[in-house]
Amino acid sequence: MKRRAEWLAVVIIVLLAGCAGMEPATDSRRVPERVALVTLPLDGADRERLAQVQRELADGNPEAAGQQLASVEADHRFNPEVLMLRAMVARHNKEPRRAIRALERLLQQSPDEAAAANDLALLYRQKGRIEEAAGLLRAALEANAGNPRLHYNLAVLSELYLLDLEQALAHYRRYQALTETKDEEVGLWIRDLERRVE
Amino acid sequence: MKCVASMLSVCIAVLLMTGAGGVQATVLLQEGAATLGDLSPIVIRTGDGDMPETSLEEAVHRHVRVFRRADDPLVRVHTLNRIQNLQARFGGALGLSEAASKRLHRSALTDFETLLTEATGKREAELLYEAARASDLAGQKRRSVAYLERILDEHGESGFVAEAAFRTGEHRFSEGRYAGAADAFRRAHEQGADNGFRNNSLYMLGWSHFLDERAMSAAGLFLRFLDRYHDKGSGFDAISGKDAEQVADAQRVLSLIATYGRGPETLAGILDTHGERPYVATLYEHLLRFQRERGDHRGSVATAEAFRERYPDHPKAPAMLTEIVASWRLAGNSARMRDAMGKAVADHATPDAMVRLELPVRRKVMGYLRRLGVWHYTQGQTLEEAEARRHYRDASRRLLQYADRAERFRAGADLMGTGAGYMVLLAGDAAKRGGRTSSAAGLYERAAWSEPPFPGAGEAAYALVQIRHDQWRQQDTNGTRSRLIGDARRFVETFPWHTDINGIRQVLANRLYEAGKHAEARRRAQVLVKADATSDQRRAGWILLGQLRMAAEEYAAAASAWAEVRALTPADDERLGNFRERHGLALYREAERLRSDEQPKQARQHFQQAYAAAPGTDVAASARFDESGLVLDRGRWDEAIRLLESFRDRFADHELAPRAVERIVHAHQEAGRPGAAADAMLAAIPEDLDAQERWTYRLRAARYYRKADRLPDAVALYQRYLAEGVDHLGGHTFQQERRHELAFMQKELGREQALGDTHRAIVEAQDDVQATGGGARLASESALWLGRRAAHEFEAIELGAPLEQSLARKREALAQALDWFRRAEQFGIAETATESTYRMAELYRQLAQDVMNSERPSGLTERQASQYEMLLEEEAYPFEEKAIELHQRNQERISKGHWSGWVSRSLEGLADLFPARYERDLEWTEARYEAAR
Repeated sequence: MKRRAEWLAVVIIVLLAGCAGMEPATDSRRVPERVALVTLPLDGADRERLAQVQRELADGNPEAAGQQLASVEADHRFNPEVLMLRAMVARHNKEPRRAIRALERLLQQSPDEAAAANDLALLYRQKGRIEEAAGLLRAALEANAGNPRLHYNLAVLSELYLLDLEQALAHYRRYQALTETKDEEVGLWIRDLERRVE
Repeated sequence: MKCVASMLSVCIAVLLMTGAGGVQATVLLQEGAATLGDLSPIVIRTGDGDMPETSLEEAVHRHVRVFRRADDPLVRVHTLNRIQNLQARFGGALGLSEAASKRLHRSALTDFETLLTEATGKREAELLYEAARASDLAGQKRRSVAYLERILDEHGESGFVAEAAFRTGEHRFSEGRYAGAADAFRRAHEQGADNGFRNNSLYMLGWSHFLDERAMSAAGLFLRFLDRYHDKGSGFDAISGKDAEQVADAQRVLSLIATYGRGPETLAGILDTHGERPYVATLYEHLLRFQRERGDHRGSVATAEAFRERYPDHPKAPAMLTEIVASWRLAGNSARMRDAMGKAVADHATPDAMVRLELPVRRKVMGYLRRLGVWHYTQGQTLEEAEARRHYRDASRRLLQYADRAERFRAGADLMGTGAGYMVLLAGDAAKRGGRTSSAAGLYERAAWSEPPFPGAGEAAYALVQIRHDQWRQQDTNGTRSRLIGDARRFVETFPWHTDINGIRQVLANRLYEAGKHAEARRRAQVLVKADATSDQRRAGWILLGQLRMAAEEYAAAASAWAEVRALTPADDERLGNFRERHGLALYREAERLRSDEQPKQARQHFQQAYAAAPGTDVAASARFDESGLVLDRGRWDEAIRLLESFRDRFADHELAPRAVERIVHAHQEAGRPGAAADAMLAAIPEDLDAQERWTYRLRAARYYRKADRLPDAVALYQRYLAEGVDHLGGHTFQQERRHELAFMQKELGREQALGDTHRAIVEAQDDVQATGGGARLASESALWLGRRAAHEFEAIELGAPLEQSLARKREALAQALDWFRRAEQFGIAETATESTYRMAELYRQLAQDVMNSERPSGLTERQASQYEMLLEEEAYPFEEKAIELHQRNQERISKGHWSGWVSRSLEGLADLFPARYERDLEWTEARYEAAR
C-alpha cells in the first residue's frame, strides 16, 4: 500500500505535465503528437487479471471482462495493454464511444500501435468517419507495412466506401501476399476488381 | 362821518382818579368793534393794596364828619383831599356811598371858589385841578372841564397842563368836538411827562383826526404811533398788555382807513405820503385779514396780490400767497384756492425757493403740495380713464414733490408733520393708478425703505411686491423674478406683522423655487405652513414642500406634504385630482426606494397606499402593477394573479395592461397552469394590436396549450393561423415550422387524415420556394413521411393471380411512394435523401421479392410451371437491378462525406442483393489473438 501511494504521486505529476503539453490535433489523420508519459509497470497480479479479461472476452462475457478490467484500471488506466483491453471490452458491451476514447488515448502514447489503429479505424467507419478510418489505417501501415489485417481492412474501405478500386486491389493483393494461407474468397474479389478496373 | 363821530362819543367814559400814588387815567377803545358805532371806551382800574376795612371806613367816616363840621374852606378842601386819598390808596368807597360822595364833593365846590378868589400862580393851578376833580365827582363835568381849560389858558407852564389837555381832549372827544379834541391831545402829546402819556395822546390824536375826517393825517399819526412801538428785530411781537392792544387798534384803524378808501391802493397811498415803514407787511396782513373778517375775500386777495406786486422781493411776499389761499378757502372757492396753491407751489416749491421761505410759509407750501396731491388723487378716484389717469399722475407728481421737500427739510419735519412717508406711498399709489408702474415701483420702494420708518412703510413694501409680481407675470425673465424675490424677501423679513405676510411668503417661496433656490424656497415654505395663514396659503406651502421633497428624493416626507395639501383642499376643488395623483406618486416613489433597499414588505404597503391615494390614475395603475411584481418575486402566484386581474379590469386601456396580461400568463405558467396562461392571453389580446401582434399572441397561447397538453386547442389555433394569419405573421420558414408542429400534434392526436394533409401542405408550400434550409428540411421530412405511408400501402398489397392486375395496383402504389421519396430526395437534404434512396431501393427489392413470391397459377404443367418461374425471374430482375442501382447511389454518397445509417443499410442491402461484390467482413483485433501475440 505504501509503495502504491508513492507511485500514485509520480503518476499524478506526470499526468499534469502531459496535460499541459497537449495540443489539439490539426492534421487530417488526427494522430496525436507523442507525449512523454510514464506509466506504472504491471506486476504479476496485474498481468494475471488482464489474462482473465482476455479469457472472458474470448468466452463471450464482455461484462465480466469489464469488471475484471476495472480492478486493474484503478492503478493502470494509461497502460497501453489496459487501454487496448478497455476498447475491446467497451466495443463488445456496445459502448463505441468509450472504446474510441480508449483507443485514441492509447495511440496518443503509442501512435504506431497497429492493433489500436485498426480497431479505431473500424470504429470510425461505424460512425461514418470513413476518411479518418482510412487515414488511420494508412498511417498504421507506414509503421506496420507487414500487417495483413491493416491491408485487408483498408482494401475493404477503399472498395465499398471510397469506391477507390485500384487502392482496394492493391491492398487485397498485399494482404494476399502477407498471408501464408491464401484466402480463396479474396482471390475472387481480386479478379472481380481486376475486371472492373480494366 | 359826523354820525359816526357822535356814536363814538356816546361810548366814551372817563374815570378820573387822583391820589398820592399819582395814578393816571387811561382811555382805551374796546376790542371787537366792527364799526365806529361799536366802539366804546375801556376803563383802566387801579389799586394799591388792601387795608383793614373797619379802620379805613371809620377814618373816612370821621373825615366826613370833620368836613361837615368845619367851616373853613381850606380845612374842608384838605379833609376832602384826605378822603379822596384814602379811597385812592386803598380802593373802594370805604363806606362812602356814591350819593354821599357826590353830595360831599358838591358841597365842597363853593369852598374851592372861595379859595380860588385868593389863590394865584402854582397854588391856583393846583386848586383848579382839585376843583376840576371835585366837579367831576360831583357830576358836574362842564364845570370840571372849565377848571381844566383855565389851567390850559392861565397856567401854561404848570405841571397839570398835560393832564388838563388830555382830560379836555377827552371831554371834547366825548362831545364830538374832534378838532378841539385834536388840539387838546396834541398839547397833551407835546407836553406829556413820559412816553406813555405821549403815546396815549398821540393815539387819541390819531383817532380825533380820523373822526374829524382827516384820514390821511390820522393814518400818518397812527404810523407815528406804531413807529414808537416797532422794534427792528422783533417787530411788534415784544409788546404786550394795553400797549399791544393799542398797537393792534392802530393797525386796525389804518385798515379801516384803507377799507374806506380803495383798499390796498389807499394803503399804498398812505405809505407814499408818509413814507415806507419796515412793518408794511404787517399793515398789509392786517388789512387783508380785516377785509377777510368783513367777508371781503376778494379784497383780501387783492391786498395780498398788491403787496406781492409792490414788494415782490419782500421776505413776506411768499406768505402773501398763503394768505390768498386762506382767503379763497374762507370764501369757499375751492378752485381758486387750488389755483392759489398751485401758484404758491409754482413760485416757491423749488428746492432753492423753499430754502428761502420762512418756516411757517414753508410748512404751508408743503401743505399745498400735499393737499393738491391728495385732491388730484381723490379726483382720480371719482373720474375715469384718461381723466382719472391725468389726475393720478398729477397727484403722484405733487406728492413726490412733497416727499422730496420733506426729505430735504427733514430738520423741520416735526413741524411739517410726519406724513412724508405716507405721501410717498400715496404718490406711488397714484403713479400706479396713473399707469406709471415703474415710477410707482420706485416710489413704493422709497416709501418702504428710504423714508424714515413710518407705520405705512409696510403697506408700501407690500405694494412694491405687488408691482414686482405684476411685472414678473407680464414678462417672466430672470430680471423680473430676481427683483420680485429681492423685494419680497425684504418685505417678509422686515414686516412680519403685516396682514398679508403669508401671501407674500407664498409668492416668495414659489419664485425662489422657480429660480432654483430650493433651499431658501423650502425654508420659506416651512414658515408658511406653520404660520397663521389661510388654508390656501398653507396649501401652497405644502405644495411647494411636496415638490421640493420630491426633487430631493425625500419621498416619505413629500408624501406627508401632499397629504396635507389634500386635507386643505375642498372636495369640490377641481385640482383635488391632481393633488391625489401627486400624493400617490410620492408614495409610489417611496415604495420604489424601499423596494430597491430590499424592504419588500414596506414597499408593498407603500404601493398599496399609493394605489389608494390616487384612485384611477396612472400612479394607481403603476402602484398596483409594481405591487404585483413584489408578490410575483415572492412566488405567490395566485395572489399576484388576483392583483393583476383587478388591474386588468380597472385599467383595461392602460399601457401596462399588456404587461399585466404577460404577468398573469407568467404567474399561471409558474404555478404550473400553462393552459390557464394561454386562456389569459387569448382573453386579453389588446384591441389596438395589429394583425401581426395578434397572431404572435395567439401562437404563444398555442404553445402554452401544447405545454398544457391541450393539443386540440393548440391545433385549432395553428390551423386558424395557417388559414388566416400567414399573410400577417412569419415568413416561409416560420410557417413551415408551424405546419411541422401542427403535424406533430396531429400525430399525437391520431388525426391521420389531417396529418397527411398537413404533410402534403408542407411539401406543396415548399414547391413554390427556391429557398433551402429549415423549410426544405421540413418539406423533405414531410415528403418522406408521405412516402413511408405510401410505401406501407404498397407493402399491404399482395400480389396474386391474375398477376397483371395485382401487379398493376402494386405498381401504382409503388409509383406514389416513389414519387414522394423522389420529392424528398430532391430537396437536397442529405439525411432525408439517403433514407429516401434507401427506401426506394427497398421498394424495388420488395417488389422483386413479391413478384418472386407471388401466388403461382394452379394447374400448370411442370413445363409451364418452369416457364412461369422464368417469367417471374424476368419480371423481378429489373426491380432488383433498380434496387441495386439505388443502393449504389447511397454508396456513392459516402465519398462525398454523406454518411448516415441509411447509407450503412444500403451497403447491407447491396451485400444481400449482390454478396459476391458487396459482402465484406472487416477484421477486428481479437482478444485471444492479441493475447497470443
